[in-house]
Amino acid sequence: MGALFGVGGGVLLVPALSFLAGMEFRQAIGVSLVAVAAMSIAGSTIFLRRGLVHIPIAVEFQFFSVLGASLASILSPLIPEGPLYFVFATLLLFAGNQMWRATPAREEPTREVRHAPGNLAAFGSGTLSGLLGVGGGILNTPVLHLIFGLPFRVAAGTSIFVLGSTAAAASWVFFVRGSILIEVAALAALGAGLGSGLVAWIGHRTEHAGLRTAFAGFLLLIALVMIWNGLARL
Amino acid sequence: MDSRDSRIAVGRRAANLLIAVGAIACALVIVGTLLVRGAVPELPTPIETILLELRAGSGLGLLGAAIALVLVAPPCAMLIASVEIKQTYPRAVWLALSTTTVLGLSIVLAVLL
Repeated sequence: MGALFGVGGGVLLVPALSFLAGMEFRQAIGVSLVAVAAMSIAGSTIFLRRGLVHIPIAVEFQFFSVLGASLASILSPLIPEGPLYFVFATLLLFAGNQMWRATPAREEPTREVRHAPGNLAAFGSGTLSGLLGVGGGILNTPVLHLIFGLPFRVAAGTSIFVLGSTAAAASWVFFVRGSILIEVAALAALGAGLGSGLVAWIGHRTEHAGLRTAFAGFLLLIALVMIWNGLARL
Repeated sequence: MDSRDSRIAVGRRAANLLIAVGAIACALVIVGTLLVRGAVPELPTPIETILLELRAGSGLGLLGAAIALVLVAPPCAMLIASVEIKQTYPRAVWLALSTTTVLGLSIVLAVLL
């Protein structure tokens, strides 16, 4: 579903594991990171073969996002869970707003490449990945499109490619700490990989207005549940 | 060969690696899931647990190995891609090596802290 709506998998997987499966929030984040890495492998194979990954920009973007993800995942035990719920809820509201507005994508490059703000945004996106277990896809694609000036489809492909290394960097930290439930992570990775590969193979995400509006409402609902849980932990 | 063709050729090499790793990881997950049973023993570190379980041929070890493969594949694909484009983008290899160094240092820090 994440790939179909273009929001990545972690935005759905972390709340599902946390609220439906009853896992601890940090364990859900660890499992989600592994699933995001698998989603990236399955999705980016297809984008790479179609030439829809801009590798020079991906390599540059990755350095800063991996740096952010590594620092955030190392420091995450120092951050209490309550504020994490609020940050996650904010991210969900941002994703829901993007779904709601459904700005039509432009295929032509937008403007000249602006490295400094792009690299700063890459660092921020990686930090969110390491803290919250989301891939950062909802941030990466707009950054690669609007700041690095890539055509939208190339920005989406490059974003999927970059997510793998970012999620892997944060996952390794969770992995060596023993914060990843191996059985759950393996099955989540299998499901995310198959789903992402299928959507990338079909070649498009849904533009159906009704579905997107319903999904935006669903994200708003999860955000409210997140805020409620955050308040309960204050 | 124009730039789009060369970009696709570079991408294909990285994609082939990802497909191979993804297929092996999927196979390990399926076999491992069929084999997993019982409680996880309390051992010193998760990596040691996985290695011991893998040596014993248990499903948990296979699942751990599958996850490790999934986490190793993206940086490897990035390194392969960066080596391929170093003629046109000389900074690529240094950036890719710096990224994997950051990744490695973060693992060491996670073990130490």
